[in-house]
Amino acid sequence: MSDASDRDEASVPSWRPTLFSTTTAVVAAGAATLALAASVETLLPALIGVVAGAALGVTVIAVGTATRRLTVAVGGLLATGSGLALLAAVASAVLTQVPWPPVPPVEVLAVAPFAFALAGVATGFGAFAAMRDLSPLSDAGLTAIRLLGIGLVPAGAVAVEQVRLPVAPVVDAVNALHARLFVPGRPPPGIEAAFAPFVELMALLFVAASVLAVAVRRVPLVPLASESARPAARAVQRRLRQLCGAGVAAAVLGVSGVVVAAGFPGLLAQVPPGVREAVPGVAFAPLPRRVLGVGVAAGTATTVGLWLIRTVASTRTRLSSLPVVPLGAGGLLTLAVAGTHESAAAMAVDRASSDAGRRLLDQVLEAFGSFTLLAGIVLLGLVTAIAVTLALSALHAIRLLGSRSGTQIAGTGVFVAAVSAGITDGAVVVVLGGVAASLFVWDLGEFGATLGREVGRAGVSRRAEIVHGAGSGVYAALAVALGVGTLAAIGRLPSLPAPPTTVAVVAASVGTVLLFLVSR
Amino acid sequence: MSDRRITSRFDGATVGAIALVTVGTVFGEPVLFVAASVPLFYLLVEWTTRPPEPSLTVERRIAPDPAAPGERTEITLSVHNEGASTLTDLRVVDRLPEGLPVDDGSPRGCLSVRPGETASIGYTVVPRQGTYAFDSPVVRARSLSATGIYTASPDAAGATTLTCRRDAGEVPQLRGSLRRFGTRPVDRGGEGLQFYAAREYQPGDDVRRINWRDYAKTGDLTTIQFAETSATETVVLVDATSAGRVARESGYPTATELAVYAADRVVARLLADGDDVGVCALGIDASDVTVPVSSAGWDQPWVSPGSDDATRTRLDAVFDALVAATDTAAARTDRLSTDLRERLSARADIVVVTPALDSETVELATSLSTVGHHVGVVSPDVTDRRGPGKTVAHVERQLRLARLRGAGATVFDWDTRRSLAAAMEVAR
Repeated sequence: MSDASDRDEASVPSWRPTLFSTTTAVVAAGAATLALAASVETLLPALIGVVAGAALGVTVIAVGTATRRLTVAVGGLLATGSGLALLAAVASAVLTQVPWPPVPPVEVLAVAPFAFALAGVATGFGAFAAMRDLSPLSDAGLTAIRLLGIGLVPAGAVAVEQVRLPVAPVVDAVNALHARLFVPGRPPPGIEAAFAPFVELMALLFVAASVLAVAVRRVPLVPLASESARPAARAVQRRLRQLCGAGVAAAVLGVSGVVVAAGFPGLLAQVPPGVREAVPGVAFAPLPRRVLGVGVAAGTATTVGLWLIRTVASTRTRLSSLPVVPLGAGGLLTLAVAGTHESAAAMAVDRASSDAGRRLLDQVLEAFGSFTLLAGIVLLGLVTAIAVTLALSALHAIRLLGSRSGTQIAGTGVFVAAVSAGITDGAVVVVLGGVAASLFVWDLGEFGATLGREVGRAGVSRRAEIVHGAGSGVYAALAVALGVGTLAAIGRLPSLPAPPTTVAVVAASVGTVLLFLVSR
Repeated sequence: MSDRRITSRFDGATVGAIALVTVGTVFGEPVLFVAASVPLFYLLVEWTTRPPEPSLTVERRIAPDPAAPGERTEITLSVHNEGASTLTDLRVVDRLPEGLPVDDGSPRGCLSVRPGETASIGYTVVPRQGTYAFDSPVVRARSLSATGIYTASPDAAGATTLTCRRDAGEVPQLRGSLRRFGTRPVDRGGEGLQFYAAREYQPGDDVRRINWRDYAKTGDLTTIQFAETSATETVVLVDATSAGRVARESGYPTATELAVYAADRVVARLLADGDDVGVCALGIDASDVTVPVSSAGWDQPWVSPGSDDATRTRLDAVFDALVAATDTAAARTDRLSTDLRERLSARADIVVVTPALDSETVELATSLSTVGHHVGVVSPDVTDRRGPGKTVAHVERQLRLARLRGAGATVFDWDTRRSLAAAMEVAR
């Protein structure tokens, strides 16, 4: 029987895992994980973990599989959010055990809350991966590569904040240049004193005319005009270019005149008095300089804007390769950090539960600054998301994960939650039910996945899916009954001398059965 | 030929059991040891499972068979469980012939069949002209635990081939928008559809023609007469030019194939009604036709109106040549328009069968209509609005049809998702 992989159609929605089985498996996974966590009163880390995992799944869908820039940008922001949620899941596991902020020395923390957080992440991510049939290798790996670009802007901002790059001298130099060009001051007596400002003005005219000439040449005035208006548009464009050319020529002539006047004082004496008086006035007037400055800015903006529009609209531009989107998303994050770091720091200090903790926070804030700390947390979230996606790729590379293993991951999440409940002294039936639920999720999910590959979503399958789901539920119930029966049987056995002996006996029994089954 | 095997589907359960025992040892939690019995149960299920051995009969039904080009053809594959055990997971794949597109449903399905029960999958295909041979379907049965798998390709009873022919399907009735073609009212009372006059009853008149309402009012028997019609010549102009080499979907019949089919059906109806029918085909040369035919315009095949067997043979040969032609030419209607006007008698009607995907044929039909011929247009529609390009083509076609209507032509816009006969029945 051929399946979708033969025809490379796995990415086509019709060949994804069937909806009924996968949805049932995914809902069962989420419910089981949260129920297990709630049964031992560790719901918060698991819940945040599920949200973080789901956000990571959506991120991989948006960044790894989408080709639209908007979804990639949203995915970048989601990645940061999912990374922060991952950190929050871990933080909640910590803060359920110690007060805020943790002040050294911190006692050894229980493993179970962290395991529940991990279980939640696996369940949430596995659910989305199963529904969209994500490939951990190609999709998650591509996500990691694309997300790297987002961290550049906040990392650069932190570097500027911490390394104290020499920004001030550059700003001072720009201010000085602005003042010299656009605020010339009062004209001194004598035409000779106006030579230098006049040359500045002519240079400004030269630059403005050149930049505007380029802009006028680039503006698609004629192609955009209607058929009847094209001759007029063509004439306007020609006239504007002539004016710009005249401006360049006037600037060259002006500078040449100054050079000649400076080199031949005799000629200067023959200049009419009216001109001699007008030159300093023009050279020191602020208005022409500002008009020319506006011209330079407008010409540059027009040229750059047109280049950007043409680049983005060009069919040769590959959308996914544009660094603008990740950098833009990083810029947004940096702006958000810049706007909130002070209030976030104040809130963190206010919520400190002890004076020692408050002092610790003050010291840390003083040492690094609130911007660096918040940006660092954002970066850590991003890095966490990247690390998780890379870890998924690595797990696939070493064949611990299949090519499309969403339900496998979700089932593992339920299994980890069941084990966590076990080491947190959860009720026996709950633990047994959790382990059975993990196998139910895995069984039903795998069934839906093979059905999707061999039959597809378009084929008739609902009745068979219901039958398999019911059968799988019966198997799970029988497995739990077997466990309860085993426990009851152990309870009827005569008491053994010491707990380690019991452990050894049970371990030996189970190990023997496992060896038998594995080696058959 | 069949295959039976057991999969290692519950390998993960082994890992789970080992993990539970290990973690239970590390944390000293007996409950985790007990929990290892759960994955062990699944391993025991796998261990005890045997591949199912289904006893099946498979039957394929195709309706209609033969089918017309572009006609939605329903295929049903039924599986009967003749064994004594329920087949909880029976996956069936009907292996389609190459180039037969599925329009609705899926030739794949997963069934759950009790003993003695029959379950089926159904899907709809849209064939092009030709014969399609189906391979044996593939069935795969899995046990409830899905670890035991049986795969086989049993021969299917019932239909194994699908034939798609131009002459298949019902001959459409031209009583709707095209009812005037082939007949023309004359100034004489008799058989017909349109009221002509009432006269005094004469013995022997059909009792159904008596005007009973007038009799109730006046007590006089009168007989209603209808305007008598006379047969005319009808020339069917088939547009099979290169613009028609597009289809609604990949693998579906092209606009040209549908136009040829529609032309064939219209000709069949007109001949059945006793009219003289001729054909002029655009898109091929007269030399492409296997029997000698005249040519018109730029060497386009021309069959003079007639109703004898020789005419019918020539018409079929032209239609066969149109279907066989893979490299049809662009429309060249400039010389043809003049030539046709000279060839057609004043009482000739014209039915233009065109997908209206270019302007040339539309211009020709418009010019013939403006010189006084009664022009009807049958236009198979293969356009839709999925995507900007297709929307533009759809709108352009609608504008061309509107231009034809404006020129006085009777236009029948055939939605090719319906059969031609059914669509014409609705249009009456």
